[in-house]
Formats: sequence, structure tokens, C-alpha cells
Amino acid sequence: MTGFTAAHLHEIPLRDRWIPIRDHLGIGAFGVNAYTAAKAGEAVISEHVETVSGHEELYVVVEGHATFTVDGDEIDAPTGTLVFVEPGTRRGAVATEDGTTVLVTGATPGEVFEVSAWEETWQPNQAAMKLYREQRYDEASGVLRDALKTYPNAAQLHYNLACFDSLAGADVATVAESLRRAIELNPGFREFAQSDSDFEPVRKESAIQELVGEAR
Amino acid sequence: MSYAVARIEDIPEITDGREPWRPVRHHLGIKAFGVNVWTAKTAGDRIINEHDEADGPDEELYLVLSGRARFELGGEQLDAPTGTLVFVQPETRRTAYAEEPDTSLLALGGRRGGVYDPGGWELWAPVNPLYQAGEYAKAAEHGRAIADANPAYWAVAYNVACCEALAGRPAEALVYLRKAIDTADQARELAKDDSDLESLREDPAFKELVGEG
Repeated sequence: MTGFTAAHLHEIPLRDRWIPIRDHLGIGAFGVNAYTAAKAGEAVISEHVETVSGHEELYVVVEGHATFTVDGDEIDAPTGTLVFVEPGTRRGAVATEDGTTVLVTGATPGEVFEVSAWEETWQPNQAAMKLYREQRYDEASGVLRDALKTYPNAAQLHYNLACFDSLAGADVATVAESLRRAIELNPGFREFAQSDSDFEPVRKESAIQELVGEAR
Repeated sequence: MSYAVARIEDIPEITDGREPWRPVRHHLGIKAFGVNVWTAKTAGDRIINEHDEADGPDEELYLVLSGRARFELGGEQLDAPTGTLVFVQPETRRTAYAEEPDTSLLALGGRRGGVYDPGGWELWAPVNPLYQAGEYAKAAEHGRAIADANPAYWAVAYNVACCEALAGRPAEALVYLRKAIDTADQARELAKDDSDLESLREDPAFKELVGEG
């Protein structure tokens, strides 16, 4: 045990807009990350809820200036603003100055912290998304099938696998099974799937209709 | 409540006679992890009192929000300009000094593999010097007002019970011990061999409350 680890916020290698603080420093007691927007007008915190994780989240604007939208309310948030959000409340933030950075800390009250699946599966997911953007759907599916051996309960991986298999022309039963598992692990994916064009090749199939209902 | 907003500088500072801080967790109603902001007005001031977190044991993460700090971590020096993150293991002794005026640190804390306990130590801290000085009646009096206004914080009620017992007021001690135990089971465990409660130990009401035997 070294006793401590230290790093400057901007020394930690970025993953898109994400500064993976928890992973970089080896923190095990709570989730903590930062997100940074280089330009004003960019989203610094994507709109989302924490219903699945049950995490309370504290946002701290540590550089620049943002506008938060929480539960439909707009909040002007210069450096030094704290925004604390309950799990089920919808929240997001847009940078209003270049170089805006927001620190996010999250955990569930009364529960032992566990590293979120999205954090652990980010790397294989990014590799698969790159192949997806190059329309190499078969290879993208292969990357996720491998990752699912390690993270069998990662809803996002099951969902993306369903998308890639749909586009790769896999049989409907295979697509439906991945999608069913994704929705089982995170019911939010049902609504996602209703308007996701990746499912166009299979949308009219009854196995898919049963899972997601009619396209809106 | 679905959300709460504050500017750091708008949260009133509290102090235990050493370095003042802003109780962010308490102010916003956070229950899942600890979070406070410490500010030194003058270069050279100590920002974080020397301590470890082995009792928890809690992990702590510090972020320098403004100014520049110098940490001492288990005997090592660390220069920490704005934007520096310092993650400290529970057993490591740590302290920090301001190298520039208006240096602020955000401190986050939680327990690896355990549940974070928002017991309310932040609110007890200003009373603690009275307890340390042996002024138990005065400490109990101050503490009662805080415990009554914040019934969710078992640690405050528990400390009031200790002070009442030490001040020779067993009836009041039992009232606050009951409040603490009703809120958190760990208060019962602590009470079983806490020397502050020695004067209550033969009281049947205490035995029933703590469940001896």
C-alpha cells in the first residue's frame, strides 16, 4: 500500500469528455468522475436519470460555467456551484463557457458501493462502437460477445449486441434474446428500442414487437 | 425533495476551534457519502487538520478547488495546485496547508466495502471542545438543541447521552440514548462498552435499552 495516489484533473487520460477519476486513482468507496466540455454549447452532463443504479449524485462545477436542467428547472451554475440530485430526477448540463468541467460523485444511501457496469464496460463498448461506425457489424458483435463473458449483467452490452446483430442480419431469435436480456436488466431500454433505427431490419417481427411494442 | 442547489460560498462555515469548514453533505441532505469544503483565508494556514481515517475506515478524496495547497501524506510532501486530486487510504496520516490565500479543498469520504453512515459528526464538532474540556453539562445543553433539530443524526443524540451521563443526569442521558438507538443499531453496540456511560450501567432502564446479556 502506498498510502495515497494523486493526479491533476487534466493529467488523467480522457475517454471522450469523461475524466475517469475513480478508476485512475483506485477509489472503492464511491463513484467519482469528471466531465469536461471544450466549447461553450456542448453538453457536459448528458441528460439522464439514476433509477437503475439508485445513486444520489452531487455535481460540482470546478471550472467554467454551465446551465443545468434538473426536473425541468434551469439552474445557472458558475464555478463553485453544487447541484445534488436524487436518483429518479432527470438531470443534464450544458457548458456556457469554453473549458467547463463538472465533478460528479455518486453512491446509494445505505448500500455498499459497487463499480457501475457502464464504467467497467466502457473500453470494450468503445471498441465495438468504432467498428459499428465503420459498419463492421459482425466484428462489433464479436467484441461484445467476448466482453459479455466477463460482464454478463451489463445491460448496455446486451442492448448494443442486439443492435449490431440486427444490422448484421442475424436471425430474429438471437436479436430478440439480447434485447430481452437488456430490457430485463434495465427496463429503460424498451423505450430506447422503440425509436432506435438499428432495429429497422427486424422491427416488424413478432418476437421484437412483443418486447418493445409498436414504433412510436 | 428531488434536488438541491447551493454555491459553496453561501454555505455557512462551522468550526470546532481548529480549521473551519462548510458542511456540504449536511446542507444539501446527502446520505450516501461524506462531503465538505475547507477554506484557508491566508497563505500558510493549515486547511486540513492532521488526522487519519482508520477508525471508519474511510477512504478520502481531496480536490483543490482554488489556490494552491501543500499536503503532507505519511511523511511525504505533495505540491497541489488548483485541479489536483489526492486520494488517501484510511490509515495514512494526512494534513494540508494553504500556499496561497483563499485556498479551498473539496473533501469526499466513504467506506470501501461498507455502508456510509451519515451520523452527523459535522454538527457535533462545534460542541466537541466543551466535551474535551470536561464541561459536560454545557456540552449536553448545546448538543440537545442540535439533536432535537436533527433527529436523523444518531451520533449527535448519542454524544448528548454521554455528556448527560458524565454530568450526572441519568434520566436525560437515557432519553437521548434511546433516541440514538431508535435511529441506529450501532448506537446500541457502542453503548455496551462505552466508559462515558459507566454511571448508567446498573440502571435497569439502561440494561433493557442496551440488551445486556
